[in-house]
This record gives sequence, structure tokens and C-alpha cells, in this order.
Amino acid sequence: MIKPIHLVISFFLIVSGCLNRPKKLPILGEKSIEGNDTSFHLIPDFVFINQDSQMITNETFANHIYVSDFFFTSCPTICPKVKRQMLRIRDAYAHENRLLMLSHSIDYRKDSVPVLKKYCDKLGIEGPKWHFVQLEKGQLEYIANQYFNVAFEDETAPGGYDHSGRIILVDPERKIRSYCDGTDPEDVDRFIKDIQILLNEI
Amino acid sequence: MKFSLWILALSCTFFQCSHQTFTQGEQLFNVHCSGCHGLDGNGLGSLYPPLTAVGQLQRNQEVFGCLVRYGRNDSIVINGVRFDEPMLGIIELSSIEIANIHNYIVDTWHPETSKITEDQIHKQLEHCTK
Repeated sequence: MIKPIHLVISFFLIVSGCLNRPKKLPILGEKSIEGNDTSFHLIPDFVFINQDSQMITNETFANHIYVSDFFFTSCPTICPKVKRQMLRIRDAYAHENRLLMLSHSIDYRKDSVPVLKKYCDKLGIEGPKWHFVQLEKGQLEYIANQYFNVAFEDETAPGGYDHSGRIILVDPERKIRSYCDGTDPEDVDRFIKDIQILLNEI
Repeated sequence: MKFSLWILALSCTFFQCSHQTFTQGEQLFNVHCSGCHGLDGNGLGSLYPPLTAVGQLQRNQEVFGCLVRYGRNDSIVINGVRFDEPMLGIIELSSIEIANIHNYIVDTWHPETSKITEDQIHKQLEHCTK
């Protein structure tokens, strides 16, 4: 016979189960399934030289999570907005050493290491946690696509390049776990929370 | 009773109108200028200058039209900080739009500076050295 106390206990068990289940970020991108194995979209191998003339590869980001964007230093339109949001993200996690940042410049002509270094200095960006790199001409579209972004040369676009303002979150296994529109502060608010969810997971 | 309602309606309209001059200016500023200069006008690091320095609008008032339409390539110092990134102009803004942006900046950060008219901007634009 079901007594009221059974209902009360069941109610609490159900509710606490719902409340305690940790939210996990999805794994984004195309998956392929072969038999019992699922392969997820992964960030490919890369080698770059950053603004401090240090070589960085995927190894630099192993055991970390990182956020990434695409920009160029002379960009007049969306880049300043996205950079402001990247700075917000940096400040929100200033003491979190497990979070790194990677900004890709798509201006293969002008954004050399000294130019990137000067840009970082002007924005007060220093230290080993935020890497600025210059893509080569042939890499623009491929690498941008791997990070769910779009980037290409367009002489009719202001600055000469056209690109999207998405900011991407990558986990320690190179999987993309979240993204946001870097020109939308409210979307970035949500993204900043996603970063904490991923930090809790690793 | 009806009379006071009319008075109320008219005064609401009046106050709306007197604030109307910079509404378009605010929208244009947010679309065209805030990316670099910030919604708060404080610029970004030493990359893009603030618009809030004392007397800054006054000093640039006579070239404001040309600045907005054609940009600038020179290096400037504001509050002891040097800014040498080129500023791109926005060629498609009309004189009235530029005047409204100017007056939005007056109302928001430089109330000590006088507002500008479309006619004054129009005259400036005839004499820009590009």
C-alpha cells in the first residue's frame, strides 16, 4: 500500500536527481559513426609562430581548454567589437590557468609577428595565455572552417577581408564544445557560463 | 480636465522633440563609431582613442565633418597616450547624419561644446583636404 511518506520520498529522489545532474556541453560539428565508434569533428594539427616569436602547436593547448577567434589588426568593422568581448572573457577568467586563448589573424600580408606584438601591446595583452598568430594565404578558409568560422579575401569588404565574428570553445581533446557571436554581448554572457561548465567537466 | 490633458500631451511632445535631435545621432554612433570608440566613448586600450577627453570635441569641431567622412592617418596624443592607428572615414554619411553624430557626442560627453548645424558640416565638407 502506498503511504504518503512513499510519495514524499519519491518526490525528493526525483527532484534531487534532476537538480544534481551536471549540465554538460554538447560536442559540436559533424560526427561519423562506424559500428560502435563515433568520430567527432576535431581541430586539425597546427604549427604557428605567436606574437612573442614562440612556436605553438596543438601541444601548447593540451590539458587546457581554449577560446579562439579570427580577426585582422586593421579591421574597422566587427573586430574591435569581438576583441572587446575576448578581453571580457580574458578578464572573467584572469586567474584560471586552464583557459588559453588563440586569435588567428587572416591578414596574411600585413599581420606579421611584430605587427601582432604591437597590437597586443596596445590592447594591454601580455603573458603566455593569449596567443596571436598569422595565417598563411592558403590556410584562411580551411582553418576558419575548422573553427566554424568563415574567412576570405574580398577587395570590396572594408579592410579587404570578410570574416565572421564567432568565438569558439575547444576542449582538451580538440573537440568544439560551444560558440557564440562575438559581436553580441548577451551571447557572450552565455558563452562565459559555458566556459565554466567545461572547466567543471575537465 | 480636457484642457489639462491637452497641456500634458503637448508638453510630452515638446520634451520628446527637444530630445529628438540626437536620437538618430545615437543610432549612427552605435552603428558606425562604437565598434572602435566604444559605446561608452572610452576607446580601446591605446589602439582606439577615447572621445571623452576634456575639450576634445571643441578642438576638432571645425574638422569634424572631414574626420568622419574621410578619416585620418596622423598620430595623435590624448591624455599622454599616443594613438597612431589610421581611422577609416565613412563616406556614405550625409551632412545631417554627421551633424547628428556630433550633437549626440555633445549631449553625451561634451555638454560644454556648442552643437553644430547641418549647414556648418556641409561647408566643412566642401573644404576637406583628403
